[in-house]
Amino acid sequence: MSWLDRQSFLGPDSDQVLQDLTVGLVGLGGGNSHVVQQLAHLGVGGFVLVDDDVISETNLNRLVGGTLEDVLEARPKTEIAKRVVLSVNPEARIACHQAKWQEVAEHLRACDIIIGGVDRIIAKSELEAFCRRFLTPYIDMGMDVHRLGDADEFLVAGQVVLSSPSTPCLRCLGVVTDSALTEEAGQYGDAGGKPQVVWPNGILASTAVGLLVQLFTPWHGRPVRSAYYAYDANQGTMTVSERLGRRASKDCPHFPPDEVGDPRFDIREVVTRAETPIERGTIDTVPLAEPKHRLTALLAMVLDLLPFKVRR
Amino acid sequence: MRKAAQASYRPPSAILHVHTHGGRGRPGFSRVDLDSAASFVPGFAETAPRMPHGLLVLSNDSVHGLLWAGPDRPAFPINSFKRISAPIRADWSDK
Ligand SMILES: [Zn+2]
Repeated sequence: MSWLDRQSFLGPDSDQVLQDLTVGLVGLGGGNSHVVQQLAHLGVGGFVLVDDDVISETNLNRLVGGTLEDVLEARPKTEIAKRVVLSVNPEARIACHQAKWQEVAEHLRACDIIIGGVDRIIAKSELEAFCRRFLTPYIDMGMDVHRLGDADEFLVAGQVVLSSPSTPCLRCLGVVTDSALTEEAGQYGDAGGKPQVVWPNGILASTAVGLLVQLFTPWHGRPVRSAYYAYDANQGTMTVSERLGRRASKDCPHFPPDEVGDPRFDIREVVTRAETPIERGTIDTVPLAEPKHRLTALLAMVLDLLPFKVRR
Repeated sequence: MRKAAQASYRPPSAILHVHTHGGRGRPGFSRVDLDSAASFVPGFAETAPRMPHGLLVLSNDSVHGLLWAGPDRPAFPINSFKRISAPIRADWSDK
């Protein structure tokens, strides 16, 4: 008997596959607070949690796992997510980074997949570019509340995109556009009050988790590497965007296949580093990067031109 | 080989000589494979010294690889491969 018995239809080795998996979660606000909770229940073994923020009172309407006490303690969102995971699976490997993801990007390279819970379009675009460079599938979630005309009526909508290497990217799919980026840049400073609520986040997050599961432990014969679901909370629908069908057969011109790997990579530096004795306690991500794996971790780009990738 | 070496120059890329032995299960390198690596890896290392170079051998369902971190260093095996497809599968050779 295992706590995962009821999901054994995910495959005979699904417990092990999920246990071996390391998922990067960037932004642990509304959307990813649901995602991290579900991944813990699924038995995902490794987490790299990144968010520079602490919980505040206005997060309580949607941050699953957050408590009033956390607000009073100004607890980092990463620590709340970590607590949620450990309360389900005390064996989970968790690296918490209270930082901007760009500052800890090195730790995200070892992830098998990255899920973005970031609001700003520029952030989605940059995070996707990072994922493409290191051949990491990226799942983007976004939610918006639009005012309908002048009336006090609103459209609650969102989308979930799975963007894998060599499939249509957020630009191909129209999630990232120059006009949206320009508009966002103009609003800089007063973006803090964007409306956000808990239930659409839950639906978008569940959709994102479903995409992850079908990618690693598929329960049917047609797993996909690319997906674009559009959510309409007013209609109560989650539909496959037509835009994906139109782009699916075209090459993505935004991320050419040879723009992969770390352009500053130098094996000679890796060798020097690997041969330098490590002081105890200097590696904060030991569970994710055991010393014996360190050398190959830094070679992640070596096989980038093949349909294979060295991991860790 | 010369074309591969030129292509690896910019942006720096690792050069891996890939061939298949067919069959099933984790393949291994023959003496001939290793001897040929000894002849071309130093040249690659000279052309693109920032990258490791080496060999991959495929079977019909698995893969094995060796990398050299420099011309005068011993080869080390690649400990994990990941197929970025759907589904994504990781193959840990040291597990
Ligand atoms: Zn594109």
